[in-house]
Amino acid sequence: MRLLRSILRFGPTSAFAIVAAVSTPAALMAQATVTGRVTAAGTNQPISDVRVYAVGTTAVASTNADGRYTLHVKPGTMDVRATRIGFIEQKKSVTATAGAPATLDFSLEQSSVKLTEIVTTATGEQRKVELGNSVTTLGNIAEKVETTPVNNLADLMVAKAPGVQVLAGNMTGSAPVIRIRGIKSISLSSDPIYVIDGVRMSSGALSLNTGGTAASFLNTLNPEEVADIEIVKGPSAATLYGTDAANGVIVITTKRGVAGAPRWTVHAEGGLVKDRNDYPSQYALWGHRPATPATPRRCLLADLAATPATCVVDSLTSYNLLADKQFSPITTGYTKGVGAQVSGGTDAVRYFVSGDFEGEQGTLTLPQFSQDYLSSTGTNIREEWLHPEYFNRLSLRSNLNAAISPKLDMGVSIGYGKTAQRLPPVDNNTESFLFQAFGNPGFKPTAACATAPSSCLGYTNTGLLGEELGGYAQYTPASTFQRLNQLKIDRLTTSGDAHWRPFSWMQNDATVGMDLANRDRVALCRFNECAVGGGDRIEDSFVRDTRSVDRNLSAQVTSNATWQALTTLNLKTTLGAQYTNQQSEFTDAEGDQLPPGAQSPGQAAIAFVDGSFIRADKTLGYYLQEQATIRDLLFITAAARTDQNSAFGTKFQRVFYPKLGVSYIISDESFFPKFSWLDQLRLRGAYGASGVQPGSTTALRTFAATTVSIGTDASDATDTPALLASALGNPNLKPERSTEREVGFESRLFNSRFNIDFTYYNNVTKDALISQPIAPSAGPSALSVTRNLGSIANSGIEATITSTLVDRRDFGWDLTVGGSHNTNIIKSLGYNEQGEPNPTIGTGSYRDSLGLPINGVFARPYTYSDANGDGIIVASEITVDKNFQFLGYSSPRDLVTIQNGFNFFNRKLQVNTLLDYRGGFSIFNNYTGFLCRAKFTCYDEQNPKAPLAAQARVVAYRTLGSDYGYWETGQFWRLREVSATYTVPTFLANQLRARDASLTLSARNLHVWSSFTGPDPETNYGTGDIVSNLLTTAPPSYFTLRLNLHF
Amino acid sequence: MTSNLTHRFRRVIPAGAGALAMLALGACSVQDSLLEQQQPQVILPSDVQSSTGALALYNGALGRFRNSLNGGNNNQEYIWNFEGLMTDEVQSADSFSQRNDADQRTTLSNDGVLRPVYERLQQSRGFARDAALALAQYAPDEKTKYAEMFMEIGFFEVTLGQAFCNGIPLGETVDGVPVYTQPLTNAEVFQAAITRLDTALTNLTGNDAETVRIRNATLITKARALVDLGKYDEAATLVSGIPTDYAYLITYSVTTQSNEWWQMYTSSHRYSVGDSLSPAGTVRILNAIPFYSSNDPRIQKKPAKGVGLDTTTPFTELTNWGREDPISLVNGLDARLIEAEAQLNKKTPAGYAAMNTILNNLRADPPQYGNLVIDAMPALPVPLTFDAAVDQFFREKAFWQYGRGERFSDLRRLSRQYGRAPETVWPEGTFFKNGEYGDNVNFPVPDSEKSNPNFTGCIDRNP
Repeated sequence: MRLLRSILRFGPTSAFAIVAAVSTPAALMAQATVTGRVTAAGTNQPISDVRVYAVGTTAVASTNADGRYTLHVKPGTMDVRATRIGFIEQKKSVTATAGAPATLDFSLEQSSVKLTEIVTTATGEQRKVELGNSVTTLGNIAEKVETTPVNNLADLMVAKAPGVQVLAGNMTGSAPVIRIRGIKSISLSSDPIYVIDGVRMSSGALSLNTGGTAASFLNTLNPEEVADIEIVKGPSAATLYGTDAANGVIVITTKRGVAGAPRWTVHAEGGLVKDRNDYPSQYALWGHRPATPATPRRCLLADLAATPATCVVDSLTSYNLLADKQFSPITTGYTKGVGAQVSGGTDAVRYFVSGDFEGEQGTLTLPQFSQDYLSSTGTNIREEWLHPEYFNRLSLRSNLNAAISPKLDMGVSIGYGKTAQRLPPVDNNTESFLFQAFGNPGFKPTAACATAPSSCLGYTNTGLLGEELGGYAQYTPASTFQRLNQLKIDRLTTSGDAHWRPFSWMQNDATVGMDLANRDRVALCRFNECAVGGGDRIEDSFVRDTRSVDRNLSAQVTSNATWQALTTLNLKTTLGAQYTNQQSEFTDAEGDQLPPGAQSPGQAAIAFVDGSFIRADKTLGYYLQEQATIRDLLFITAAARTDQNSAFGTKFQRVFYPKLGVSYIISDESFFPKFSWLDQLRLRGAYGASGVQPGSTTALRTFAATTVSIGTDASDATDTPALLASALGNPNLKPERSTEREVGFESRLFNSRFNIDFTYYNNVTKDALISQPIAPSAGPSALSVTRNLGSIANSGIEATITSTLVDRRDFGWDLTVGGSHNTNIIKSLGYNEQGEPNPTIGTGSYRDSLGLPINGVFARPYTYSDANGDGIIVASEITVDKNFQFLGYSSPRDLVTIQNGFNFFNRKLQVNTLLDYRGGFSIFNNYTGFLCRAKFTCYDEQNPKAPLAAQARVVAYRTLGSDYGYWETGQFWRLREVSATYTVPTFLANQLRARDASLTLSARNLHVWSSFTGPDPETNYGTGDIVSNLLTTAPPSYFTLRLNLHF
Repeated sequence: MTSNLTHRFRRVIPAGAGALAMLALGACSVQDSLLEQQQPQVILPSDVQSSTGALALYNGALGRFRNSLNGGNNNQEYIWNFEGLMTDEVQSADSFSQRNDADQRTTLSNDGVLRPVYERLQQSRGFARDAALALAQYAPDEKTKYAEMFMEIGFFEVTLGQAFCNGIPLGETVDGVPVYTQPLTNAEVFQAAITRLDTALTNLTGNDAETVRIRNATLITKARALVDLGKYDEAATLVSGIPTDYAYLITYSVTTQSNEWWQMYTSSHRYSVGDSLSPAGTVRILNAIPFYSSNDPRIQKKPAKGVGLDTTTPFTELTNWGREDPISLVNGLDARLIEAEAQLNKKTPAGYAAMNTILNNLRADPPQYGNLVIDAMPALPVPLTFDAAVDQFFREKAFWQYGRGERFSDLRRLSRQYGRAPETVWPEGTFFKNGEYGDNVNFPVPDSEKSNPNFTGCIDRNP
């Protein structure tokens, strides 16, 4: 009974421990030891961080800085395998005897192709060859960070893995969008989940009150601290990560200490940020009415086409304010960074400690004419106005690993990140500097415009404060940059793990951790600052302060039992439980009408709480996995997981996810023909299911609190608390369920100089959560209800060829080519009241329709003809189709990356390039489209020599309601990265007391080849599946110089 | 080998089975608490099943009532504002194509601003219905509030019938399940509204101030529906006892919702005041009343300054309503105008004179409406012909009821009930932003209604 009470009190972890303890025969406690040293073949230099493990057991060790390891094993004869990235894996047999340590050394050959052999799975570390599914590992992150232009997690992941699309943020510290193997959900996010050192990590985009561009939790993570990133692509691999993992899992492992003397790594870097994009110019077609030649006016092309013409053209001017250094806020930004890491310890205790600071000042600044204006009014110019695009990050990390005993390892990981970020109004915002700049009249205004606006087509060049506008429409940066949009995050991510091996055949692992983030978001217009809104800057002053706390608690216990059932058959049983509790809450306080100097809601004349929110998502899952290793050639994995989740409907209790994987190194079979050029051929296949949970309260029927002004007149009106019915809820709600099948092969050719990895996948999401629209006439409290109605299929291929084309002392050339193709089809949208299939959801440009992709692009095509041959297209010469037609995908279907690595002078100089292609999709040019529809100053509207197609699209959009002409192919090739790393001669490094040193010059976003007529096809501020490029900044280029020192 | 295998089985299987059992046992004991819903902000149905809950729902429905017509934040249109855009009351100074389309009378059924305008009206019917049901169940003594909810529903339905094309469904949601109905003509919608309003009147039998206030609002609303059906005398009779200084006001506060006219004019510069000329004064707008340039005291304004939010259109600001100024839902003016229209439709010189007397009485002693107090205005001459009387009546009505959605319905009625061609009553000619004015004489029911399987689109677009 005492045992039972203990179990009930302490839960599953203790249950396992107790079971293990009570079932341990004393004889099994006897252990033997295998020790040895791992060195590099040829140089005989010790290799640290090599994973050494006894095959078929749980015994595993890592080499220290001197290449030495110690394995505690059960006496007997066994195979021991040593593996490390960059070296060819080696396996040797050894006989261990209790009381007499056996010695086993390894001499590893360098591998031409650097492939990771060990991956981290939901049940622990595992050899990659044993997996039936494909997993992309980014490998040696430390080397990538040192030799390529990397500022954040998105930089690390972009164009690195087939099937993984990364759309990086465009402004300093802004949010990226990451999609893996297509879009799987219609109504829910398709974002993957993130796990760092076993702990679920907040990763979403964070609003910054800019008008569109958002910040991201991901940018609090410092790439310098990361040891490896694994991309688990879909349910076939993510089953054991459970509900929420259907969109893939990004598994991040931070660096660990390596036993040995302290090893220091120090880096310093600085760089430039340049906006090299071509933003559109504005045009003015000057003319006059035939009867009033002395009065200038703006001609429109339609005026010229009228009979008789209502405008006589005098001249055409153009002006690009953003290219005019006198008025443009675009300048050269910079990046800077400095950091140090130290790693060391003993075989018993290893440590890794790092500290890092990085800062980036974006490409925006307060232009000189705005500074002059503010100075003339006696205004002190704040730093935040001078540099409104800014991000900095302080990162501290301490990871400690201890071998408490031969049977027990423990580790503690503590990471702290502190970021501060600010951005000006941009994007879909009338105070956006871009919107205001593009509002210039199509010529550079002069002082005369203020006194004679008619000579400037009505443009006065004078703002509401009496300031010179310099071509801006209403507001200049002198007022718009006064608005502060700021986000500060303090984040602590901690985890503790323990690995207990009571027997040679059993390992119990436990991980508990917390990801805790405090956010403070401020939008502030101080007294008598910012753009004039309601005509009174003082009344319009305000502050909005949103304080948020995000808490993710993760706990996981697993128990692995291995068993050599036959000499040719090893079995491994894993039993585990996992719990995640993701909570977030915020309080939003607002204050209006601030007195001078005030900047908090409590100081305002009108202060109120504008909103608050608390949510919690909890998942409790159990899983069981059985792995069979047959002759070390055939690996079969079968597993199942079951989850309960707080967001499920009350009538749905539990979900089950199965998994099956097979990996077969067929080339090592005796029957397989031997080819001199084929080193290894592995076939693999996997099947698995996973899910995505509904929103935390979607299942509930809820009411919302509100406040209403109620009174018979203004004198007795009182703010009164009130309730409104809100969500309709759905007690039958369950998670989306994605089932994935994948098959593929991996082959090593020509002495491992070529590696080919090919995968075909087929993913079907059923019970897809769809916000089923409700017709407004029913008077519902919500206009949709979430139901498990849909089905979506994603299928595609992924291939990677990794090769070493030249491997000579004076020159080496590595080439990696990756590509993927995705087909996304909506199989079902549920059924209507009559039992008929719902054919489509949506009535706009993006629709979800049966047989077509999610967010399919629709428009009304048109044809045009210059019927009268006057060279001008008018509305009567355009015929618009009455029906919307499907135009294509809104997300890239085809991804190709080409990475080159060149080595010169005995690897003293290393040059890397990354070329990136995306195609198979359309994007809406909401730059030109918006400006041409809303303004009369666009090229298509003002230039009589504009191509007929350009004229037609503006007339069709503005007059006939068809935006078809502004849908363009999103296809592009981009020279994404170029870098050169020079290894400083040893004698010079020694002058700095360094073991070695290197210098890296790198660039990001150097050039793009595209037919897109906007600034850049990756111009985007959206954080979802649809590109939003309405007057947002285009991707900048980065040029960075970095010094790496190793002590 | 066999012995070894057996030995292993003996050891592993019990251990595994035991582990599973223990794990399951331990898990069961804690999983309920681990998965417990902790959503303190969530308000569940059980929280509103009381008299206080019903009253809170009543307050909420009142809020949505006000919000749906002319109240809110975030620079969104509500029905009175969007109606103003399509009529001559407002000119778009905005960059949003939807507002320009409405101003140009070219709004399509997939319009992104029209959709929420329609949805708010229809959803607010539902909120009022929910509140009425809750009051009936949990606060049966609150007869006036119960009746006020039916007044709301009736008002929404009159508004829908006045603004949207023929083909408006009026369904309901019961226990979370939508009940869809067939589309109705405008006349059928007005008749349905009258039924709701009669339900309200049945429950408004008291003589306390609050009951009288709600009853007057109900009578005026019903009278409007009757006017829309051409029953002018019946309408006039209904409102005859309502004092001219009566008003049912929609109130605002900084911490709840702002008066949307202040929001769209003063705060965001999205509108310029309607006029017979374009904002730049370069294009004549046919049929449009010169609200801005007439200098009528019923249109309070500021001199033109700068450009609107589109950075191009000269901005003229209406100042009738400040941020927290109330606006009339219905008032005694409306009652008098209903009486005047009844006189107009006698189509006799005596009728025209009687109509003119009512109008001049209002001009001589203008009642306060909202916070607006205006001086007396000179009398208008007695019109001698029916056409002249119609012109005088609808022009006066346009000024008195500016910004309250009536102008839209009046322009429709000028065609439907007074035989005037749409191109002689709606803004026509060259649209100052580009192209020509379109031919919309009502709003299409938005495409979002197509989730109702009975609805495929407007029955027609007749005025």
